[in-house]
Amino acid sequence: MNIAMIIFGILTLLSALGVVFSKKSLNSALFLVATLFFVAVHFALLNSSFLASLQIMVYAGAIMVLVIFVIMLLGLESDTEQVQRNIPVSVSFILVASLFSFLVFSLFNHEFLPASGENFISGAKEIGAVLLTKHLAGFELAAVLLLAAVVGAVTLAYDPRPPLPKGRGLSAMHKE
Amino acid sequence: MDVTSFYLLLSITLFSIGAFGVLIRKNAIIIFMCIELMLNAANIAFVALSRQYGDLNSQVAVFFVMAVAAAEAAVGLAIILAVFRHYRTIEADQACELRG
Repeated sequence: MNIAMIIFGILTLLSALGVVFSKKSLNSALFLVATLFFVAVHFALLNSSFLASLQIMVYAGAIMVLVIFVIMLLGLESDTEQVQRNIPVSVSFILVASLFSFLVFSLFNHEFLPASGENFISGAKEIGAVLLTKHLAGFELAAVLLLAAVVGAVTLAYDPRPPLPKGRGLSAMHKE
Repeated sequence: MDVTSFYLLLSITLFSIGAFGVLIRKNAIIIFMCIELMLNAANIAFVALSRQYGDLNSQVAVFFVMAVAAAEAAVGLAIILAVFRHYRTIEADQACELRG
């Protein structure tokens, strides 16, 4: 374990806390971009260069553009919350703390088998070979899943009403 | 503490932060982003154990998690858009009636 892992670990957790506790949803989204970048750094530190680049392209690129696009489309970038959730924060905290302590307890009571992958490097070539031979069925199913998601997203988001006059987006309607 | 335990601890902490966010926030988009945090925590655990055992199958699992997360992002945000059109809000507690 080197110093870079510790520094980036702390940065990851701090930006994750930023996602949860930001008042504005746009700030949360930007903190999430930072978190995903730091997770990509961890993948690179663990010798998984292919997954690190995939993380930046798919998560920090594609998914976050979609999230920020929806936040701006709905005009929620300065929304702040007033109403409490149905579950009190203290109950949520107790639930999460018990989950956390259970997981840490089981982690420190577990003996790992001797490490065998210290010098193991997984680039696109190695992962591609496994993905297209042993996991070919899953790969094809992922393609079908993505197609179904595209069709489902269009069906759900399609608005049959006629388009609004100029300068009257969704958020303008919201303020009326 | 070895590298694998360190990363599993990081993964557990990140997962707990995400779960806490899902429980306390009521803005549907932030709940969605906290789910992404939890998926990433699982991915860190997969990659750390893949390095520990020199096994590529768990890296393939990370690949599938990313594919499912991309599909989930598309459908989830479309649902949020539809809920906003119907209720004029995306607060999870407001959209609580059947046949609303």
